[in-house]
Amino acid sequence: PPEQEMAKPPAPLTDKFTESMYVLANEPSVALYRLQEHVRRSLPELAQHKSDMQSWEEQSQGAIYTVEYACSAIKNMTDSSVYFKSIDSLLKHAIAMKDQLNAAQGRSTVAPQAKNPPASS
Amino acid sequence: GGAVGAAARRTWRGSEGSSQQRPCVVTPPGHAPFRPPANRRAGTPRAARLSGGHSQSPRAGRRSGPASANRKRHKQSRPRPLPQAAQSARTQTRGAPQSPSPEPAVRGEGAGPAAALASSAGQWRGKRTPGGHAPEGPGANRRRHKQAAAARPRGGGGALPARHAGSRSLEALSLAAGGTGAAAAAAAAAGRPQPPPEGRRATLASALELEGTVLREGRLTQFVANNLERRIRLSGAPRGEQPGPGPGPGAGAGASSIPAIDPGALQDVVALAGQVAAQVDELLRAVHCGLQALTALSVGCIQTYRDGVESLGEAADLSIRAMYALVARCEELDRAMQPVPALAKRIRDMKGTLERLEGLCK
Repeated sequence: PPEQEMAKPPAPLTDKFTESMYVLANEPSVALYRLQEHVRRSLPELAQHKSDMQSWEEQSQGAIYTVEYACSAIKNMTDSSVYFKSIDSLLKHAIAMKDQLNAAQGRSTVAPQAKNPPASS
Repeated sequence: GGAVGAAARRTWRGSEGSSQQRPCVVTPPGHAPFRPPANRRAGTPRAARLSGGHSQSPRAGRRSGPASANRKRHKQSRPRPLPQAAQSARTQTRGAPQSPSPEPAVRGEGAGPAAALASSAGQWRGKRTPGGHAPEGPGANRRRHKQAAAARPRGGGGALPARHAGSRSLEALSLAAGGTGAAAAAAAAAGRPQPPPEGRRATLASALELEGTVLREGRLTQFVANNLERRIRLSGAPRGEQPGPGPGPGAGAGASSIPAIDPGALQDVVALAGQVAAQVDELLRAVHCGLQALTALSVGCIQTYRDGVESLGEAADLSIRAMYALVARCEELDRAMQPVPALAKRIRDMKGTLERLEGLCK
């Protein structure tokens, strides 16, 4: 029947057009929504991790400075060994002198006055 | 029924031309035995089956000679159902030779739907005759078919009909059906619009060519239907009628079915279609702008994400560097610690020595 045949084409045309309009408008929108949803959900975690890393880095820097300070202290200590060496030798000298003094003083108890003033001076 | 549908679907060209032709074509079918054409057009498959060969002959109706011959055929077609098959066959045969002669001449020109209508009306009757596979003039049939077949490849393989291709359709019908007046009568009497059983391959274009002129200009296809009003009338007639029962009763029923076409309605349709197109344009533009905004926003969002990820990577990098630096310092400290115990021992010794000295001095 011609009337039916004439009525048939326009309807499928509009249906197809509306379907393509749906697809045209919906697919990119849904895709972009999913994208921004993912970003929205994962950004706070990323920010948290970033702040964690920054705090750890601060701590590490502090520890580094501490270790650096300690290392320099030890280096100074090792540098001071020279002085300790001289101190040690001087002490030994002093002890030796004191021993001599004591020995001289003991010997000079028979006639100490003559030797004591020169020993004490 | 497909005829009207096809006519309504395609863009008309030169409606004035077709309108001119319609009246003059409509009058002959006052004896409207051309129901068979309407039935033939009813479906594309049927039209495809219709034998593209018939569609090959150009509509030579423009010539006055062929026109008169066509009118003669019209008159002949009327009494076809009657037992004047012999006479019709004779007349058809007489008319047929004339058609081939103008055929080559006309094929070269782009035959408009104008004069073709007159011939087409007559051709339709003759077209069905081969479908009737009648035993009458088999030689005439073969001749018509050969001409139609010859016309077909010459016409340029029906796929992309040129301007002149459209005019081939009905002429071939008349050629093919030429000498088969008896067969046509038999078919008409049988009232079946069956396409010729030869089963010639016919594309949609060829099928359309049967119903009018098909023009292809690049991507735009134009179609001018012939006998538009008559087809409308025919389609409006009740479908239960057997196609091609008889010229008289069919004509009477069809003629009174619909009123004249209203040009105002057509103008309205054109204007409204233009409005629809404009609105569709606006719709597409709005969708485009919306999508652009959405994508811009999403681009900003994703760039923010990218910046965050990059900064996170940088922070991780720095922290790892700090870790490695700490490890290096610790290792250095550990190496520096080695002489310390020896030094401590020496200090202890010195302290003992000092205490001895203090003891000595006391």
